[in-house]
Amino acid sequence: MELIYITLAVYGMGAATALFPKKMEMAAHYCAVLAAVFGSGALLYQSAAYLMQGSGSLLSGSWAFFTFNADRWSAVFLLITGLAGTVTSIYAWGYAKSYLGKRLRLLGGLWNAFLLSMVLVLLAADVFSFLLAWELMAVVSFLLVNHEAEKKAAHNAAYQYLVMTHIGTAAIMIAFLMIGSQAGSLDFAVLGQGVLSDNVRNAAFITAFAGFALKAGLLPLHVWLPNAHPAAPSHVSALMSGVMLKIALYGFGRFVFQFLGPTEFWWGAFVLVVGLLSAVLGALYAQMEKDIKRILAYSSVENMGIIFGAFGCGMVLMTTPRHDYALIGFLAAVVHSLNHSVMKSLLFMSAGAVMHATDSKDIEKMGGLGKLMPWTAVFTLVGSMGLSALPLTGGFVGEWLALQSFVTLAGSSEGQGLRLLGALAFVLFGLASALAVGCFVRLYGVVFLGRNRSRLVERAHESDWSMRLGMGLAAILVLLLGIVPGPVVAVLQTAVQNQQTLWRSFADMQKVWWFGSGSYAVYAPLLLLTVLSVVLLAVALMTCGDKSFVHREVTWNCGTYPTARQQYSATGFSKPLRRAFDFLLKPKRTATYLKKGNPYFGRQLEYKLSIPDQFTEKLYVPIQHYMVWSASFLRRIQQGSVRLYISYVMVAMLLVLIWGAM
Amino acid sequence: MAMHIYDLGWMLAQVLLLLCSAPLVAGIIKKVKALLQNRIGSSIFQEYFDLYKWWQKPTILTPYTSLVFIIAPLVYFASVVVAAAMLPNFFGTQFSFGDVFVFIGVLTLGRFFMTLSSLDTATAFGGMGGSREIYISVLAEPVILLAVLVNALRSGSTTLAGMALDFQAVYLSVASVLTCIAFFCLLLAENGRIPVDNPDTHLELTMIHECMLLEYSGRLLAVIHWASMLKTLVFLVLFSLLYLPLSLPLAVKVLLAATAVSVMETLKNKMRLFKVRVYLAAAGILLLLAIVAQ
Amino acid sequence: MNFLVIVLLFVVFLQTRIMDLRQAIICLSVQSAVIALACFISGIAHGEGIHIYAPGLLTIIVKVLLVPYAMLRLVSKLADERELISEINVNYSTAASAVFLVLSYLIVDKMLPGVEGRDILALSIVMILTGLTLIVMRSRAIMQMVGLITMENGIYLLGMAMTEGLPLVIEMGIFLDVLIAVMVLVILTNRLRLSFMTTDTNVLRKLKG
Repeated sequence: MELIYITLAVYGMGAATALFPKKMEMAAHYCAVLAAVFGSGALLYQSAAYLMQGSGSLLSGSWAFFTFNADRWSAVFLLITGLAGTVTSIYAWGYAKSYLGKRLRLLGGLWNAFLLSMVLVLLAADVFSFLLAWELMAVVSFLLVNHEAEKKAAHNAAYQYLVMTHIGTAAIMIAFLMIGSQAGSLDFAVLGQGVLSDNVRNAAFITAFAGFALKAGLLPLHVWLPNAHPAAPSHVSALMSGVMLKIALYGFGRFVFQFLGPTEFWWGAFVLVVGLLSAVLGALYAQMEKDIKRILAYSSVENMGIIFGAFGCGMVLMTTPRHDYALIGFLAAVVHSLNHSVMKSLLFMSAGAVMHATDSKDIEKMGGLGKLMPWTAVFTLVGSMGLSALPLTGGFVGEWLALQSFVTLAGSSEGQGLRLLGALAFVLFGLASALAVGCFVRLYGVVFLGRNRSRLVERAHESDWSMRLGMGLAAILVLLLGIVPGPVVAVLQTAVQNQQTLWRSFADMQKVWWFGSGSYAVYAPLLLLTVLSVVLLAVALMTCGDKSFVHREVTWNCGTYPTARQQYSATGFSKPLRRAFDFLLKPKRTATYLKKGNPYFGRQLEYKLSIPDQFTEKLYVPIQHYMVWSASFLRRIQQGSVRLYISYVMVAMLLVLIWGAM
Repeated sequence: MAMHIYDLGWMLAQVLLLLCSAPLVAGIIKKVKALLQNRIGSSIFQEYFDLYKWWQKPTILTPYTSLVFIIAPLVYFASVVVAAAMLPNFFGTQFSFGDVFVFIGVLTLGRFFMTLSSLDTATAFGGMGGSREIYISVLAEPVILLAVLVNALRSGSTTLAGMALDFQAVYLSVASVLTCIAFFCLLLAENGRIPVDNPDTHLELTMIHECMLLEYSGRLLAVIHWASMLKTLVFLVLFSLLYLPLSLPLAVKVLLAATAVSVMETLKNKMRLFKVRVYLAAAGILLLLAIVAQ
Repeated sequence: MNFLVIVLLFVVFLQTRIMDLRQAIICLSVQSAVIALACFISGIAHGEGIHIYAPGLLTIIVKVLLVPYAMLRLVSKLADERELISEINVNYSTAASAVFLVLSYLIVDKMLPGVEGRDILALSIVMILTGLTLIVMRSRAIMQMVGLITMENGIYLLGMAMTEGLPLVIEMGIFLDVLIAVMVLVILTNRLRLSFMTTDTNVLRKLKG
């Protein structure tokens, strides 16, 4: 258990590399990366070992004012942090080198500080420590988003993030104070024992959910996420999407399991619906974006939506007659968190590799990269399959569990209400998962397949060994978590089961991972893999056995020679969906004639399409306008004279005195 | 273990049976359609001849394609075969390696690769097909899941075997009739049949599934066509097993469903692409009604 | 003690009438010295040990010596600047102080009838309000500092009268606070003088957006 302290110390040392002299920038970078890899590896080992056979708590103690305690619920997220941290840190070895001369020392230091702050959040055992670590995490990630502050977009995104995240922190703080004032202590162990009135509990639930949903990027508080995640350097985006979002789930889970007392039905239903709506809209916007990292960021909104949807489903199940089945919803949330962290890290890393190779984020300018970067292409394919939740990848396991939890929900009582809630969950989930498949087909197809859409691609090159190693490890993990999910799920289950002993374990629910003989639900990935690969091998041998049968000819294009610009573009690919969902997306199209001339030929037409985020347009912009408008009233009392302000103070004081004397 | 191997054998038998009869069922659909349209039509074995013909022809690849283009048909084929193996065993043995969600997932795997391959050809046609395929699948997915939910609620299980209707009892209720109609609509959409897609045309403005295959030839084309026919058969079997509330032998029910497809194709036109939204939404609403009515 | 109260009252009234910066600072110093004296007397009356001398000593060091010294140095840099306000304005501030005196006695009687240190409490409220008046009515930065410290002395006196000696930590905090405030204000005044050639705070209005 002392290993965690070593992790913290190593991260601390890594953070200190920011203080290296300027001449030793490269040395600082290597030291920082080594510290991050070593620290994360130790964390991974420690949390995995504890989850597998440990009992009691991973560690508990205190240092100065900071109290630690890590139970199984923390350990799951420590595992996620360790896993994603190790993989992305290896990747950072090669990737961050491109920041040489651009505050590389700071980047390395902040990278370690970011990991450190996330671990501290997970370890914190009282409100003060938690909020302190939470703030540290917010500030460090803000600095990382703002790393390329020269770019206007990054700068704006960073400040938007800073404002939004503090609103979230404020909400969480209010929730803590409401509960803490009743419990009479700020210690996590005591916090849940206060007797709370229903109003306080409801209010605390709403504020806590708002705060954590903001961090997790759920609707309609997601607006910062698609701006902030792409603005950061890619390995940082990987960590932000892969781990930081999950920490929101960690905090929310603490509230639900420990602090808020018995769950109300409407809490769960609210979380479920908000989560799944986020999933659908996140996937829909991901389908519309052209910026490779914004696509991934919106996909994170989608996946966090699914995670929270499953979690909400568990919460609803807790209040139904079949509350002993509630485990499955929470389990789905946790399993999908783990898988998503690996998959999203992988895809952000490959997005980084692609951007590194082409100097562009715009997928419309790419194409045919698969031939130039074969390794990256294979790894990205695995990641895309995972995020499309195809069987035999990690992504499928979580979504399969989520679907099972929705079925359980729909069947959990005779009443129509829960049944319709389950049906709604099915519809939204189905939309989201099919949209995700489309999104990743589009992403992968446009970037890696086909022909070069611009000259940027011609210079593309394969990534260096460390980047490939990082991505490769993540890709192997995606497959491994998909093919042998049994042990992983069993281990993660102990973390959730810890929360309530009444819950049935997974085996009781007759889920069998290897030879399927269960009567309720079955998924036997190993067998599936065997059958699938046998068939695949057989048909491949039959079809491609005879090489002489293959000819090379130019693609048929109605008799003309095809050019690269005639390929389907990413925007074109999403056109049917844009049209089908135009009531949600409200795309703005403008066509202007640049050159008037003969109406039938020789015209130059400029066609512009923009799909502004409707939440920014319809919700945030009006709020901003209203605030500016109301501020104009406040201007009147602000005349710029110090003496006037003092006289306000004086009048106020006199009034208070007189009022007090009355 | 021996028991499992025995079950595995029966599963193999089932897959082989489905694989071999898939072109026949496709031929029957065509023949019935032709008869309904007062034509003589081609032989019901024509699909076998076609597959043989394509098998003899060389495969032509364009210079832009990557390995994905070659792998895609194979994965598609494998995924449909696996889906066929997952159907509840006709021969009465218990063997499965995944429930209905895995079944859907496996079919999605095939679709994922086919749409990828459509983008690999670097032309407008491929992308168009892929884009429309994704569009249809996004609309169809919630409806499929609802259809699954109806049966899962009825039977308390999500395995296909558990969800299958009891052959002995005629199972007729409002819910089952509504589900039956809705799933039939879904079957047409999923397999690229009129009114959603037209499998017989190669007009680029109307086609979806054929659009994606435009660049394929030779053995790869044969593999894709065979897989598509198998997929249609798998859906027909699924429809008969899970949703057709008649107490008849399975083979009869499948033939009945196939005939229904022919009748539908004769009576209806292909609808506009953006009307599919309404069509599938209607199927979804029928299923919601079924869930309430159950 | 009563004698001290009368002296302090007199000093405060004088403070409202002085227009020369140097004299105002000396007056302030005297005012702080009287406070320090009051502090010693109150300390001896109520307690024993080093704790009772510490606040008085600190007052002498900070408010009687350090702060006036810093301000005097600043004034010497400002070539014979005066508070440029009319005689009427001065009369207004004196009158305001008189009104405050009546008001504060009323308030104290109403809120704490028959309290022991009635005069001291009333006086401290007068000092706070007068300090605020000084800040509001005078435009020179130095005079505003004088107002601030008058107010500060009032608060200190109030605290002393109410609680018979605050914990040492809080007193230290208050002194540090005053010291920092004066430091900031001195720097600000210097900047003001350099930028605008005057210490008239009215020019700060230009900063308004």
